Amino acid sequence: MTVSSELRQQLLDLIPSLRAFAMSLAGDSERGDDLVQETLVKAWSNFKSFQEGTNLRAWLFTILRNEFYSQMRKKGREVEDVDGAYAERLSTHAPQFGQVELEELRRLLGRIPADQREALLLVGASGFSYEEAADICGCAIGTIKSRVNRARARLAELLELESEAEFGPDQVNEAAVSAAR
Amino acid sequence: MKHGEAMADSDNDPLEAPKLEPAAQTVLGRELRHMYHQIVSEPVPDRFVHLLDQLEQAEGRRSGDTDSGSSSQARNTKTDR
Repeated sequence: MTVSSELRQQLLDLIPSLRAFAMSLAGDSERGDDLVQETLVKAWSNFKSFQEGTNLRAWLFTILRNEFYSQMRKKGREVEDVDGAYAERLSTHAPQFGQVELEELRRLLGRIPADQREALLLVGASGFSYEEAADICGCAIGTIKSRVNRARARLAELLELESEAEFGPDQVNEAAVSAAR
Repeated sequence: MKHGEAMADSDNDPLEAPKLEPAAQTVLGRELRHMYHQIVSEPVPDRFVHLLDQLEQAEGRRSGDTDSGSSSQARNTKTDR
């Protein structure tokens, strides 16, 4: 089938939630948008393999996370690199007031393993069921539940560490350093 | 396969995965959705609108043909943002 203008509109409508997932997964706005771009291109050229009537949103998220992991393998990136790159940007560009929370949470997300971060984002923020998340990640539902629980526990731990020294950008950065130890 | 190892590690003992107190989980969930909302409520960047335009045009030009060329066509847009 030819890709219709209807699909174009559906993809357009899903871009905001794809961006939120991609940026939070990659820990970097630019990398996140590059992931979304690759996802759209791949979705468009592989649309024949998409079963109409099934979940387009889940299909796109699957393409995006596969692209994320394949890039990570290609570049030999470690999960920690996400955080490293982010922390570097934090120190060179002091975040605007009001953005701190967003940047900080995204940075902390970078400190947990990618598979746990992914599971938490899919279930805890993107609104997928455990079952859908398991389909997207190609693993068992129990595995997703376990990853989500681990991610939540680790994030809560990190947030608590941060809040102890939360009085300004300098302290926030120091907290990040001490949390890294 | 470092990545594979890391994934295997974090999947150990699925039944013993730590659970958060409901209150902490609620706060965390709210923070996460708040972070998402900030991104979701941003307007769609022009680069994606242009990308979809180009994909649709490429599709129109080669209707009936295989779509093997459309992805390389689109990939070119990556450099001109």
